[in-house]
Amino acid sequence: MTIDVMPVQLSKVWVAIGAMHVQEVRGPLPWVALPGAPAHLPGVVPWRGRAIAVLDLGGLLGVAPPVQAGEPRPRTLIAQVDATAFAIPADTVREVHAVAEVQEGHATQVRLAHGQVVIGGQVMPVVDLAHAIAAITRPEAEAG
Amino acid sequence: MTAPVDLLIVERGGVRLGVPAGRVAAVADLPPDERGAGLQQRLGQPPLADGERCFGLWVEVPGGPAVVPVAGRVSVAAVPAADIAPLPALLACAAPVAAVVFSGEAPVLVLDVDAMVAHARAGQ
Repeated sequence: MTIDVMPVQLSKVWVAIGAMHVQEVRGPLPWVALPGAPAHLPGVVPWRGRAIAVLDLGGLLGVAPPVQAGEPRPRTLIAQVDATAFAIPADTVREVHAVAEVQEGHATQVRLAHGQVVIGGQVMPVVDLAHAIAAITRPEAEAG
Repeated sequence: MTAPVDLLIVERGGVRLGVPAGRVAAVADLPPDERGAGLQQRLGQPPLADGERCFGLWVEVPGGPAVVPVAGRVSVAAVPAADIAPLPALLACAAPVAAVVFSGEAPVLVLDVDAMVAHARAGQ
């Protein structure tokens, strides 16, 4: 059994996320900052006639500087977990890869990673987006 | 094409806040001793400057009438209802912002009036 993952570059670090969550890959998308929003959900973008949250995945994982309104990243990944869609600013996105297994390894030291994969010779942590959203909205769940 | 909604827009420092005009009974200059921008400060804007013009927004909320002082330029804009995008549940903590209008070069943060009054009172 294989797992489909999409490699995403956040600053200088590559991570792999489950392709099942990916809805669209778009170019740079300006976003609107929201005062009072959580640090890693700092604003919103329009998508299909509604507002969806910006997920600062690089900042959440601690691998990239925080995203800034007015400085959109070259790519925007639109992802969805359950009924919740969100936009992830990224630097580069590659095509989906089918990997045979998720391994244990040093890349799992990245926060929220639950394993690593090797794609094109590049070792990258695998990040569960559902877990990432839970880490922001229910930090006590992550701690537990 | 959906019917337009009148939004009372308060613009200050490049940030545009919108309040459904139907919820605002009156807008009037505030006397010097009643000036304030506490709501806007709580939304990340700078404190009131000396001599900065302030307005009071008279609104009706469940607890009775309330006046919310704001600073900046006040105008009214008709916005298609379809352009007012409610915030996702994930961002319910961003109150009193309840929706965003993305159209135009300057987006509008649309406030929930009841939450706006609660925020303004909390800052007093």
